[in-house]
Amino acid sequence: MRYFRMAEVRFPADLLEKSAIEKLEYFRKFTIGHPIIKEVFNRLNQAIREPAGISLIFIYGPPGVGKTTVRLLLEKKLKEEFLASREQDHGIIPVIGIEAVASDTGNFSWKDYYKRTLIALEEPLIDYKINYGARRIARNSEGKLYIDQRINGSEVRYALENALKFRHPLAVLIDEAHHITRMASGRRLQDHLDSLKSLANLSGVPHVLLGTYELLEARNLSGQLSRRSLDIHFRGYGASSTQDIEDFQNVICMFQRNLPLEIEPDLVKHWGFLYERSLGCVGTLKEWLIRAFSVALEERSNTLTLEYLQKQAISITQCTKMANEIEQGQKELVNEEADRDKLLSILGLTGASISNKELTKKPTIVKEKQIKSRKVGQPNPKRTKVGK
Amino acid sequence: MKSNRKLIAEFEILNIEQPTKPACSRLYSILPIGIGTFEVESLSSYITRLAEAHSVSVGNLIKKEIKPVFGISDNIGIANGSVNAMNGTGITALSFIESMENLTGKDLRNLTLNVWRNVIPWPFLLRRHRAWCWQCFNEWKKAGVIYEPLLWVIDVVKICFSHKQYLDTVCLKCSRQHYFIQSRSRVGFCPNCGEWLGSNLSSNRILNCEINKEDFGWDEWVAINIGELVAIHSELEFGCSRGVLQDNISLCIEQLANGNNIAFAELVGCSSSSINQWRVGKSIPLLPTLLRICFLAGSSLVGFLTEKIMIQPNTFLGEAKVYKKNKIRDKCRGRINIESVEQILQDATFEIPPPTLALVAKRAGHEKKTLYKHFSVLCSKIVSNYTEHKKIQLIERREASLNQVGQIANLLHQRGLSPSQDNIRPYMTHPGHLRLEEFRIHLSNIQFKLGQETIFC
Repeated sequence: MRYFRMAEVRFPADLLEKSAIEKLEYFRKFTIGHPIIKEVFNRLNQAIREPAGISLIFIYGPPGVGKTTVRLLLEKKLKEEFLASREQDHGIIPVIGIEAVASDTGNFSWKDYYKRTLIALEEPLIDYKINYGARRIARNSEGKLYIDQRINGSEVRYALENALKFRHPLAVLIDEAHHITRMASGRRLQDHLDSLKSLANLSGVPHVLLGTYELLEARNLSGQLSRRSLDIHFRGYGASSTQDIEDFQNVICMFQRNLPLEIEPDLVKHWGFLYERSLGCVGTLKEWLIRAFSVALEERSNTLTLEYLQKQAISITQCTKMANEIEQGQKELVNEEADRDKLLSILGLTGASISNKELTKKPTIVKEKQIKSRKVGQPNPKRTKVGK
Repeated sequence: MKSNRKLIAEFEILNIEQPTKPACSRLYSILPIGIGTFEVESLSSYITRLAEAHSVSVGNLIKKEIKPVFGISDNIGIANGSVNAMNGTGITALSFIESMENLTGKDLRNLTLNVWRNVIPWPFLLRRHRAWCWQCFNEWKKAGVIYEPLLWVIDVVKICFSHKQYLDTVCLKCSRQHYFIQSRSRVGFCPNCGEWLGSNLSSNRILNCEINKEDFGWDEWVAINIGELVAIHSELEFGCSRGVLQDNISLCIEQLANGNNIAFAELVGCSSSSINQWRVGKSIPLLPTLLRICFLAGSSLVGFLTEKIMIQPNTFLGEAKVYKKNKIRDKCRGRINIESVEQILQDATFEIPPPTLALVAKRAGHEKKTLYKHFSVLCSKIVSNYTEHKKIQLIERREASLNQVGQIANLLHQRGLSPSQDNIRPYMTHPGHLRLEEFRIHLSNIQFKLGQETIFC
């Protein structure tokens, strides 16, 4: 049974007497564990514990859907577990969370990324790193020639490999990972991603990349890369599913109950508008509500009216743009299903011998396709009456 | 629709506030190797491995991370080799142990000889230059982790116990010795030329070297005993006291030399005043001497230091080496014969070429100190004669060299080659002279002259 009644959560009554800042702070901290975010979190948590050879985990979704929240949740859980198990090694760090910073030159700087990760790992003497064996082309201690990969800042990368090996965090969480894909050439991007994967392999630490649908571009670059990677699609609530709509309305309801206002606003009534301008993403919705709430507090209003919401909403142009991106991203995922036919035919398997449900492991996909095993023109055997 | 809609379900409230960051050690918490065994790692090896793990040079790690922790003074530096004392028994070792424990969270006392600081004095304890066994390096490389045992740091240990061969101290490629810790040290590699020290090239050298069986026997006994020493010290929390050592020494003197200090001194190979000091407790024997005493008493080193021993005949074959500091002293005994010595000195002042005072002292059979005491004027004369002689020789040598430069330059010029420094250098007897100012001026004059001739030819 999925549904059960729980005690209604509301803001504490004494909050109404407090300052605007405190009210805003309360609402800011109020985070809902709605079904989609919980599912993504659980999948991620499971993947970290039993990586089974997984080096990279891609979590992609629309902007504002809650990826940073998932990241913070995981960090908190891992840190708490670490603190609880105190026969600890003092040299270990439980988890690393970093943000992939967009470069101002247009090309993502890997050297900068490595350095930031080293800083997150509290590595000393970052500017003094050396790599005794690192040359472009060199001989190793047995006299054999080897060629180093063409990656910038090899000393820093080597140091990072060691740091990950010795500090052994359970995971490295990279937020805004779509910035990584902003590279001049696709070839270089592939090199760098392979390098990231080998870094994860050698150190035994899974890397989690959270970003927008731009990440799909990186993921699909090579078969080698996809082999040891796991995808988690963090979608927003879709208008085509009644369950999704209900869940979204629930979320709105919980938000409206926890806005510290004298009169509880009726936001559920305007769920259509709220959905339209947040695109089903809870994060975007919340930020919108925070903006509107802040203005309402300044004007000392005792409730949140539609007017405030309308004034603080994201523009239609912006929304259309974002909606297009989402559609594009989801199309790519759907295309995968179509490509599956192609894959099956390459492998020499037909749809009749394998059912859709056995192979697909993506319950969050928006559309489902069924493979038809009969040729056109052949009647369905069930239609033909047998006997009388 | 009613304004407060009836919900079917409420979702969980999440708390994403982060807990306080768990503290982690500043440097990696690497496990030290071999604690409790003969092959326990040395502190210098641990620090070198740690620096490699952090991908920084050892020099930078020590200077920027380890020294600032407890303010180890700059007098203890890498360049002058004084940092090597970290493996020993003194204050340097203690400072490094404390700093490293602070930085890594690991107990590293057992990687040094600090536990024995009360009973083993520092002279003749640690090697000055690094020693290693190339076969051990090879084996460990295959196993995956290379390190350097504490045994190799101790001066009296000359052999590798596992491979029964002498330890190397010179790099085969660059023919240089080096310290245990240098700025660019790496475990298993020469810090000067970067050569892998476990290479098979070494084997030729070792096989060619003849091993003296008697010496080897003694070295093996020493290696076993020191091995026991470093293996057991992990069990001693607070080190051991001198009382036991003192008692055991007294026992030895009683039983091995019938209580006679001088006889015991002969047996052991040091002065009787030292014996007295040990007996009274004012000082303790140096490690090499202590080993000899243990050998004679038939006891293990650890036993001698930690418990009351029983003297028994030594079942180990071989002779114990005596480590003597100053050999000349043995010959210079007895009263001085004034006339004959004076005659020798007088003759020396007229000798050509003038001899050194050391040579004359040898002839006379007395130390320089004694000669100065009785014949200071004569000695000064001998010394000044010799100094003058050396000066004249230097000038003659330089003049000959200058002439040689001129000759070679002319020859080259005749053959049509340029009389440059690089061309002249291979033909000179003392090519180093070319770096001197007067030579360079002389050469440039010759070159100018020859150039002029060429123009006017």
